[in-house]
Amino acid sequence: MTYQGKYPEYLNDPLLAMAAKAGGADLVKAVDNLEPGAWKQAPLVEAATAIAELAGRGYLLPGSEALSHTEAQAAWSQGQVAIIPCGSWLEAEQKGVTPDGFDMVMAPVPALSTADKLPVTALQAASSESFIVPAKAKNPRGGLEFLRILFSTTAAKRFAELNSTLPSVDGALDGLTLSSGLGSVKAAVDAAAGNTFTYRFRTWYAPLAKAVDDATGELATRRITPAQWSERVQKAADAVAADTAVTKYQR
Amino acid sequence: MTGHRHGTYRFLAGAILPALALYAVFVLSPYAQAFYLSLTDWTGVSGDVGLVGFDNFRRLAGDPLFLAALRNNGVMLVVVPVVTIALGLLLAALVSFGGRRGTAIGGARFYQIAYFFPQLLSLPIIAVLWQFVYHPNDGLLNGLLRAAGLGGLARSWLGDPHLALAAVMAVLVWSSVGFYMVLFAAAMSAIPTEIVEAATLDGAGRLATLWRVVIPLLRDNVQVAFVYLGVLALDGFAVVQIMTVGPGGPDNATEVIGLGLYRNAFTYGKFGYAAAMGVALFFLTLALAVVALRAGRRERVELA
Repeated sequence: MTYQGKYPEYLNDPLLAMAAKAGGADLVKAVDNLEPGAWKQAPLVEAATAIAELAGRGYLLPGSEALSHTEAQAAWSQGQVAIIPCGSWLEAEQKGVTPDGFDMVMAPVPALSTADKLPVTALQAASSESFIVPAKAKNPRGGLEFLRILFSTTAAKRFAELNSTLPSVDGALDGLTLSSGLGSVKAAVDAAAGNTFTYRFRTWYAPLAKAVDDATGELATRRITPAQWSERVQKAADAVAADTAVTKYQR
Repeated sequence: MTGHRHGTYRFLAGAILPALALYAVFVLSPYAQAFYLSLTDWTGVSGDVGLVGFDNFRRLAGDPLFLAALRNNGVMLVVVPVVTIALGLLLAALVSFGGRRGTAIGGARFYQIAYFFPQLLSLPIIAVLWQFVYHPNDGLLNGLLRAAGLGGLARSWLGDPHLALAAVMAVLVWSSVGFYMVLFAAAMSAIPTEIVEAATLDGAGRLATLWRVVIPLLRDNVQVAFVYLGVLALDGFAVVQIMTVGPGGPDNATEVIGLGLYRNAFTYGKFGYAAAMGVALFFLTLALAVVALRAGRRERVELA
């Protein structure tokens, strides 16, 4: 497999998803609420170990750590590797360079062990774009109305057709003929049956997100150990927690 | 007589004032705003701006990313000007005096134009091209090394924290050396041939002539080059942002002040803090220019 080494956050997703499936909602909450020692929870260290093992056992394409997302994804589309971690937009992004008969499919992140709190079909699911209507805008109702149109079933259906990407509106894919990639995404969402989760710290605490990205990049090149990874990220989380200038959120 | 003078002043004022107004609006006022914002906690989108005094500057001193940026910019400040000027002088000397008996070599114009080419490309394009060159598997650099049987030297240039900053600096040097070669070559052509001939007659070899006669006569040009290249080395934002892992990595190995400024302003929504970085960078650049111009002050040699 390969990964988008230039932007290590792509590799965070399988790592954090594995940890969330093993530790369940409580693990995710502890991380997002900046609880002391949250990043030292056993499932997180075990997930980091699993990522380090990918590198250690030689499953990663050499040089991946310096590839941009387009370069890594091109290597995957050319068949140099079998697996790449990415979001469900991948099929649309690779449209021009996917060979005929490539028929990509998505698979959920594997379970760390049989003792996982969430089923193996559980998915990390989050909308990838944010939309904001400012409270003090001149026409906030107009803005909200626009969002209503944007997220109507009709608009979502058209969005799926044009971009072969999963829309955030439930049931928008019903009755559509789906491509291989998008079809597998829909099947995975159906199989998850509500067992979805998402971390919030990325949008709440951007400096913490950067610390995780940097640490995971170092982990995948085996310049740090899984224990050092959790140590480093915990330190960054503690720094954010102690910073009175940062607005804190709870879930 | 006085009427004539008044007309002159009016004309001068008419010529200068529009330029001054533009300068005030587009240069001075942004500076003033940046200084003001550096004392606030402005988020960049909110209408609320709170004054926080020198808090942002106190934070800078304890920000590991900013300190990493200072260190990397410091290394660049030492390496980039020295290497670029040395290469520029060497290439200019080879072109200007590399021919028989210290004359210009054949095809000197061609070399000058060829070396000047990178100057015609914008820095972002250069960074994108060099990202391809450094590609660990399909890149030109590793490809050449492998073709030459030196595959053992092939590296993940931008993926290795020990090599990434050097790889960035190499791009900065590559992109500037042609300009300084042309600058130095032009200055060398202004040196009267008798001086070089006299040195040769006195038995000075080519290196001695270059080191003891030509370069001392180029002192002013070298000094200005130091200031310009120093400013370039204190920046480095475009190349780092486009080319490096992270960007700024791996693991902050290529973090520069400009990148931290950009990230804090546009990713973290901390415009006040970012402005403080900008103010710090402003004073660093100013200090560099003052030191470089003072250190090189000496009596001038009048040629001709």
